[in-house]
Amino acid sequence: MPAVEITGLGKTFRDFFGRRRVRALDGLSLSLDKGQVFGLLGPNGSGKSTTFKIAVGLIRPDEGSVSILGHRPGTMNARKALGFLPEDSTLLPFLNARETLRLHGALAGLTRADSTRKADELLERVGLKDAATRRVKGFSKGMQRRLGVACVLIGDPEVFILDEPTSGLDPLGAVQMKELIAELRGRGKAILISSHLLGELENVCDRVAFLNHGKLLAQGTLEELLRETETHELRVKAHTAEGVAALEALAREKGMEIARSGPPLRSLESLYLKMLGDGKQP
Amino acid sequence: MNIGRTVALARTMLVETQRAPGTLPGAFALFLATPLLMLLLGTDAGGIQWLARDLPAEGLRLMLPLGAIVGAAFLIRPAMARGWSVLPARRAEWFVGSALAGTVVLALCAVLIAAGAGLAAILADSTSLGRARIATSIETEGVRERPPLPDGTAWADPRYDESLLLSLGALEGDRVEGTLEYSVAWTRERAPARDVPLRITLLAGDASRDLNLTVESRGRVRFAGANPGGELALRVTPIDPVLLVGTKPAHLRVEVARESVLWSLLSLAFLGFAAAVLCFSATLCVRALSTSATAALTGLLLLATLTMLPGLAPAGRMVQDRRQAVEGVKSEGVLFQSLEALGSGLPELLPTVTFDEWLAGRVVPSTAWGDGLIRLALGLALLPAGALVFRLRQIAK
Repeated sequence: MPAVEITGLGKTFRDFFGRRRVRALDGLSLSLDKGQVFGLLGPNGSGKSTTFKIAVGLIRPDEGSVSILGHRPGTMNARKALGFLPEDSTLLPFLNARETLRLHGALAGLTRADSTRKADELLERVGLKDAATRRVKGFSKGMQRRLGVACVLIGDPEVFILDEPTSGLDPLGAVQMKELIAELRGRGKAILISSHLLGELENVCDRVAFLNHGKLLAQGTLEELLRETETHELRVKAHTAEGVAALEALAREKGMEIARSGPPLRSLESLYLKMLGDGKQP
Repeated sequence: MNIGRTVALARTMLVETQRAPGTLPGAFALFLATPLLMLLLGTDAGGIQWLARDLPAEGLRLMLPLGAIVGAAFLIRPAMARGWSVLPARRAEWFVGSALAGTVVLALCAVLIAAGAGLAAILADSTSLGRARIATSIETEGVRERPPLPDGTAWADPRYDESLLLSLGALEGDRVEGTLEYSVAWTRERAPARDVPLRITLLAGDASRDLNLTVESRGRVRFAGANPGGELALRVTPIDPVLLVGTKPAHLRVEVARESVLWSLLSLAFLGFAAAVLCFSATLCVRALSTSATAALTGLLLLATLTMLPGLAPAGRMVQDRRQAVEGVKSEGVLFQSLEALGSGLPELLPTVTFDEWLAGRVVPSTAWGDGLIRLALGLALLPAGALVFRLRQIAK
């Protein structure tokens, strides 16, 4: 059974008089298995958030259906199976981080002792151990995001829906988030994720889908979608200047056109991590 | 619905409320408003005592329900941003948890207002707040022995040697003290000669003794004397030959034990709290399906309907009754009259008589607790409906 199965999903938002205002989703179908990370891509208003809201039971579809581990969205079983991190995570401002997590533990059905233990573990995990007794009101956006992630994790759900999970996080936080997603995938969790930062999705997703105006444009594995048949890339690790020159000459001799030749460029993220290490104070 | 999750949410809301920056100043304001305003605005002893009764009455009768409506309109925000964090719980649990937390806050507000009123009572000489009306009947003694008028007022005419007899029953304590409000009617035969046109005699069995009188204001005297024990009655005798004296049992106040102030305050606080919970629940139910502004307006409309319409209706009804009596015509069932009748048939948000008793310096009747319980039960009974609506509502933003 797929972890998340969306079939023919349609949703039209109407105004007060019932007049059709916008067609947010139009026949969307996709499926996500356990141990998979699925990325939803699309511009603003493409229907990503509407899909998420239907999946978590905040709104009802006009057509089609969503199944979370076989359960209808909004039911208690679906809620228990689901961890949702929205783009704007408004936490209760006057609770401290530990109390926030303990509340979520209680809502997830943990005992007081278990929720306290798990809260402390998760605070350490998301790098908020030193801020455990600070009120959320004084947290930066990135810290609130980390706490939001911890809230999602405390119930140990099977399916995660993460809306812009790295929004507001510093590069190190973003890397840790990606590591976390990879770890969750390794533990057999299903993860549905959306992000405007395409590079992030590329690193973590197994499958992606492109949405526009509520319609599915394409979906598939990254390899299927990203493969370019017109060009070919050859990476050489241990190289010499003579060897490179010989390879280039051979390529020209065989009628191939060299688009670029030179040392590869590292990503800004990897440079940041190399320069600032793990972000810990010396 | 899971009770554990609901309680966890309610407890969290209470912690949030307790830690909010405005909570402590707000609590102090509720507690100190009555004594401070009483001392600031009161110019004489009577004025201070009036304020000590009036301020908490208005606070519990109007301000608390009003605050409940505004609070309910903005308490739960059915938005994804606010609601996501409680997603593991059902939305109905979120709704009921918030409502329970709000109910506890309202109870604390009522207690604070009552505590402030208690402090004001101490500052304003609490004995004046501990009066009870205990006359059980009134009758005219004398030549004609007429029954009281329909409004309960009985008149005594000195030209016919009439007097008024007010039965008190047995009274505890060594002294009988209190006030009597009276009306006078001038016969126009000549100018009145007496400042106090009456004499009050305490009757105990066959014995009788005139009580000492002090004028408190126009139409109100204070009486005092020893209590001989047994069944007591007051005889009010007009002593100015050109002034008829009239009064009714409601205008007689006899001071009783001081504890009644606390009891009255608790009764009023409970009644005000129950009415506030009713307004709060009704507004929450509307809030469950609409915007905060709509919810607040609906709540205010409810408050106005339950407080004003029954107050207005008797005037219309009096006109109908009079026409019926004079012309023998039954009222026509026109729309306006039907609506007015419907409005006057609505139960009041708060039984006016309870607060009137308190404002008149008498002990609040014990029926206040029953009235409060009915309103509290109504308010709590609305919550499941609101929770159901909130559960079914779509949260698109």
